[in-house]
Amino acid sequence: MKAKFSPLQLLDFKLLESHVEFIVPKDDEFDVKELFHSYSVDIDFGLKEDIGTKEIKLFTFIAINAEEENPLPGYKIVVEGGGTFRIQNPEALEENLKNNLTQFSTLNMMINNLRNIIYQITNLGPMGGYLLPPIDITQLLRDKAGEGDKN
Amino acid sequence: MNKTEEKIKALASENPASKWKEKVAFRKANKATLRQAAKVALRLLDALEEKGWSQARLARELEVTPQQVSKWVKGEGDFKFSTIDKLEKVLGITMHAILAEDEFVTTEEAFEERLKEEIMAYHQRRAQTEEYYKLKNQVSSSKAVMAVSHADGDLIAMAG
Repeated sequence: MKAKFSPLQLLDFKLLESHVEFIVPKDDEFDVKELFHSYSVDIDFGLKEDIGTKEIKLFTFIAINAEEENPLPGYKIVVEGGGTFRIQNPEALEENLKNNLTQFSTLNMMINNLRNIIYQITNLGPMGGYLLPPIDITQLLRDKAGEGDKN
Repeated sequence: MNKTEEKIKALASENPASKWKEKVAFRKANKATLRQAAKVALRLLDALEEKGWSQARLARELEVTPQQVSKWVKGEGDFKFSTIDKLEKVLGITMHAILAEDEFVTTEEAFEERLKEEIMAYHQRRAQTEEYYKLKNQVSSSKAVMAVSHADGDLIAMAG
């Protein structure tokens, strides 16, 4: 099947920060899968659209098991990335689709890129690669909108 | 013996009239030199086209005969260093880079140009990264950077 390119273009992606710490478990026996599943995941992002260039810049932050107090054993991860996107011929697109590409797809792609980076880094660690679970992007956007309403 | 048979016999004779054997032997023995001469010939033709010059004009500029220039552009030239130097000056080209075979040769201008491109690319990357950091600072402050308008019915791309 021949793939059709999306009007959304990823122009640039930069990893701004990556920090991985390994906390040695006190217990000898534990289920790595279960442990990974119990990690807390914090995600934050900031999006800005340049009216002149029509470019969308998106900063994304992901912290896994990064609580100050009592983090779980294993990996403590913080990654940050920046991406630049552009929609080709936005005038030709419906408003709904344009919003979908601008908000969902951009964030989705950023999280995917960072997921890949997290996996690559942790794959060299004692517990093997940590694969960030699928994230509810809708909820993230809702939370962000709620944050905006409060301010 | 018909004409074709006569021709074949003449070609296969020990001293053929067309001297093709000598020509082949010469090409074999001077393969590398001829290849270099061909490269120079192509570069000369390109330079003449760029400048809009005729072969006769080049001959005048270099104070050589038009026959000599004709030989060069046919790939039959055997160049002295002084001739190469003159060609470079008159046409504003660099021949030593063309002449170097299987060797990475760069001119000072080409090196500077490349360096300039690399510096510009670095500055672009840096500027882009600074933009991301500006966004990061906005995220960590209390003000939300984006105002998300999300319709409840729109549930596309739930997981990512």
